[in-house]
Amino acid sequence: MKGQIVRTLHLAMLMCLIWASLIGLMIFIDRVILRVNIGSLIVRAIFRNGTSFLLLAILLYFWKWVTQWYYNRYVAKGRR
Amino acid sequence: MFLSVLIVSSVSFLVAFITTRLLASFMKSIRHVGIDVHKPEKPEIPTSCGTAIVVGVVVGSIIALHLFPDYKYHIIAFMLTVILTLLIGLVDDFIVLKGLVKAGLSFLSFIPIASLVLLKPEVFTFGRPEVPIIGRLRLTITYWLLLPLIIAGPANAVNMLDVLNGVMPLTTAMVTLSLLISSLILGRKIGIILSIILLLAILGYLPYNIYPAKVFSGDSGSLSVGAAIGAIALLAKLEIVALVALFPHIMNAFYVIAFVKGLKEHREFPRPTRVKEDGTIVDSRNPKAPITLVRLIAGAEGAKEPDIVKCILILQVVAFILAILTALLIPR
Repeated sequence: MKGQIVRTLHLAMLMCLIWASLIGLMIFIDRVILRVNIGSLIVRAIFRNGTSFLLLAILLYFWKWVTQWYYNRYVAKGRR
Repeated sequence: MFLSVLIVSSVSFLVAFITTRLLASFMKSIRHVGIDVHKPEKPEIPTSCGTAIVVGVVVGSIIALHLFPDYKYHIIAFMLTVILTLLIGLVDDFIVLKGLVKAGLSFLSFIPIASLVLLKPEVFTFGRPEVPIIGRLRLTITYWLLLPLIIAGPANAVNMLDVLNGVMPLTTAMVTLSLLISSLILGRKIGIILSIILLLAILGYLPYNIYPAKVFSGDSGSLSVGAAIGAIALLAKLEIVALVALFPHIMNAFYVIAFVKGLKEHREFPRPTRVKEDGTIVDSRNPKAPITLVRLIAGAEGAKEPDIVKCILILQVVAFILAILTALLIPR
């Protein structure tokens, strides 16, 4: 049971990290990206939405990568 | 207000509690059962009994319509959303649907709330999501395009984590409790009414589904509870709080979608875990199976079903604290 609790606490820490990153990302999008002014309406919309979704996709990719690394490093190599 | 809320919550609790027992007997009589694969003796358990939660919610909502007439359109939209999702879930329980079809159909549950906005814009309109520290996010068109996900997302995420005895009612009760406390903090009256109806209906169902389960929720139960959470988030404007409270569900759903590269029904990919003869759940070590929350927790050494449920509950408690923190950080 000890192993499961430790892994659960690791997952909880990952959850807290994702929560903080998500809030940080939303603040960054609101305060920086959505305030960039570009003359053309279409170019501005593509820039704002494209950059916001790209940053979100990077966060999700990081989340997946960390989980995969964690699984290979700590879960798959446990006692049988 | 307190007495009215007490009446509504008592009714939804009692109705869900009694209906679960009746539904269990009925499902058994028509042989609508599921096999509890995590038990060594593989017992047959009556399924689709999560419908009782919806019955509790609907009866509670009908009483709330009379007690809170100012919010009658919100309550009707909430009720219709839950009923529509229940019907989709029941179709899936009786005729197994493909993962993509089920997820696609769950988008239809957005229709009642969208209709409310179109028909009664003076009663309810889609605003902009409220984010901690900065307040309303400056997203309009993009947010509106993402809105159907607020119902379909939680519905499917809750459904995907409903894999062990008691996980669905225990975790969703905590999510609903966080929505209730957040509504109290932010003064959202509709959030208080709808959260308490849903919370007590889930608690009425909980004793039957907790380990060792006497009933299964089925897709009908888990999809409709998830949709109800999404509807409360939307109607009470608690989208970000609900997103944080649902972190364990979203985590699990994200892993499945990311690792199987698409929306697939669990029958369409190899099992991520296997059950030993003594009932211990262990990692299947199949590289083609997705990494799920249960697989991550059980690991190679394995764990008994109730122990894994306790670990998922620990994660849900952390998500609950983060959700309350999120609500506290939203400027009032």
